[in-house]
Amino acid sequence: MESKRTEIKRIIKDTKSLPTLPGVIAKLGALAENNSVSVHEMARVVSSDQVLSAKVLRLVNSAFYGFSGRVSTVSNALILLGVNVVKSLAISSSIFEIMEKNVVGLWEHSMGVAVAANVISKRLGLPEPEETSTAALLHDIGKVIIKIKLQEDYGHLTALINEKGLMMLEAERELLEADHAEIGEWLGQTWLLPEKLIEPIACHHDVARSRVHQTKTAVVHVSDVLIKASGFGYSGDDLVPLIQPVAWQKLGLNAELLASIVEEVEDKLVEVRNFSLDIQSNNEPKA
Amino acid sequence: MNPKRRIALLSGDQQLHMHLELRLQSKDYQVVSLPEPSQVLGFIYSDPPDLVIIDLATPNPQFHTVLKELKQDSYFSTIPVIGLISEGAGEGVVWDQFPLDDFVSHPVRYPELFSRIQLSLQRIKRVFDNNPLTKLPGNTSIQRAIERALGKPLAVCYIDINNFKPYNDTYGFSRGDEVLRMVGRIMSNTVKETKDGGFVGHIGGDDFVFIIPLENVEQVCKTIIASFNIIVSDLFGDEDKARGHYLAKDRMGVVQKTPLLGISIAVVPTDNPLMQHAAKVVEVAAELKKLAKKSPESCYVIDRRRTNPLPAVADLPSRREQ
Amino acid sequence: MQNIPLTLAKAGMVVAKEIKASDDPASMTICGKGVKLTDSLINRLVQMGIQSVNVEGHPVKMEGESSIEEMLASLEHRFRRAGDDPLMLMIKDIYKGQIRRSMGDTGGK
Repeated sequence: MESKRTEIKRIIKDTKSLPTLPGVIAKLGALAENNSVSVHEMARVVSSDQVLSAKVLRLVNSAFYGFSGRVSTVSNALILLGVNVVKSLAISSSIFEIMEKNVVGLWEHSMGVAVAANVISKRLGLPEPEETSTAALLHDIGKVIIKIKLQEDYGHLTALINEKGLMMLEAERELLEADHAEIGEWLGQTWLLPEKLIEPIACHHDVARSRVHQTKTAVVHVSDVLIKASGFGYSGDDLVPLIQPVAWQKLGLNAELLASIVEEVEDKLVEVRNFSLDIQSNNEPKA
Repeated sequence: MNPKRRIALLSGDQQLHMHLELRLQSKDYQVVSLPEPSQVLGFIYSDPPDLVIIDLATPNPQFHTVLKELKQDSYFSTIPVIGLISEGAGEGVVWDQFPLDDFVSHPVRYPELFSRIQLSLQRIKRVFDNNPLTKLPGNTSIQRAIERALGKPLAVCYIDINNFKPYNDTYGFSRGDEVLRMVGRIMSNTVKETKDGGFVGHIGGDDFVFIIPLENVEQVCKTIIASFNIIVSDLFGDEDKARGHYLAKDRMGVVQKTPLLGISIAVVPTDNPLMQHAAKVVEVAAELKKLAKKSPESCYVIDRRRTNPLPAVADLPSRREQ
Repeated sequence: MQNIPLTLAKAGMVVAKEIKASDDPASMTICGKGVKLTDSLINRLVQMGIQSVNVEGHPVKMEGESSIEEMLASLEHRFRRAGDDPLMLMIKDIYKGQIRRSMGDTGGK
């Protein structure tokens, strides 16, 4: 009898792609038709979606291209893959058959955390803000795996959360012997993503565990806490996790700095919300 | 144990698809079913198969597009494509428009199909003319392309990476290879994404060449340099970038301040009456390259001389100190 | 101060935070703080691709929007397992202030 962890690792090895919102694909399809529209618009839409970003990064870091783990942002991937390849990749993505609140919620949450990570990185003058923002976008990709590939378990998880008031993380550890951070880590490794993206994904709930990319991990952790506090999006439970002092110290934060960061993040989230509404208006299931 | 070869099937005919799939599987090939035509390219890009069979007997313009797109990308053009063509229709095909690697007639004679599949897979392994590292056209194609460009309003542009050897020596050949692949991709993508596209090739080592319409030269050179700077920026640490150099041992074992990577582009317009022969183009390019390398930063140099033998009057448009 | 999509902006609303041409802080200011919006100004902003604008007060009741009390209650609910942790209390306070600010209480910076 295969252990749950082994089962999940096996499933991940067989996973070549994941679905995303129909509205995102529809938007990209429309952009792709319009030749003058632009690479920047496409990059913007792709980099706001965790599944598409992961897909593009997986391709550019694959053995086929030979850049092994070197490329960490969608914009760099675009330069190396070329517009046509990214366009084709994006519009051929699969979509969620059944649209529900959790699916959109997780998508919004991931975008929100990416935005927060960007603000924090820039405000604190940290290096590689785009890479950090990408890691933040992908931080919960493990949850997509659970939702799509472990559907039965996903049902049990939600039941457990409602019943016992647990956080998603706790429910996962209880039921699956692994949590979404670890699952995301395994996916990142299987898809040959760069270490600077994998470590923050793997350690965003346990910052002390990070080795080389401690700053990026701290930023992703804090961003996750802020977005949950903000109530923007929905990542499986409505609980704000405790912020880890090691992350707080690593970034040299204080109340005043944080307050001003929060104000900027909240302002930016309004645009994200507008974007989300735009995407959702195209979410009608295929005829 | 060799992993099974994966063959992708593109056919509008359900029956045919089913038959093909069964016969191929019986020969131990893994068959990948492609989704509807508009999604085929994305599917192939994200998970490249070992070979593609396209049914061209049932006319479908989308299949044709897939074929052309695939063969235009230097990386993906190395996947062999076998076409199914209606019996007798082979004679009317304009092969220029259908860049297949092989074809079989439809109705399919399976023993023949299997032989052709094996032949195609073997053939692609023989180094044709493509550079094995970057998969870009090599010297035979390059020579031909330069000859075709003479007398036309085009420009033959040579890219060469500055300070590449010390980088290779310090960071190793694998990293050096990655840089070469990056330059190859950046050059290909930039050229392909401009109006009227152009030819791209890899001469060898850190020498590349591309041929584009004269009017696009400034735009393409600037874009390639800008993209290169962005990508290469990731290869060096922040302090090295600020200093403009990194410390590395040279061939004598002495630690030197080694400049970061950059590129030089030598541009030789071919509508110039002085350009009578491909060899002349190469000669002029060599001169321009020397000039370009004098600049500490990436730059491009265009040959504007029209008569012989004036002293060099070359532009260094991206040189900051001017 | 309320950040609203440009599609909901109406003449008479007052700009609470300057509008810049793009996200880049070095870009040009198109419209200063304190300017009263007019129909032609709004049209011009639309043509420039501006997506949203910060206006004084809280003039637009967004669909499904809750009252301040509801939002504060949700905030408490989200923080229910944060206990007495000082950092968490501080973060909660920051968000309380943020809610009040967005609901027009402090009327802009």
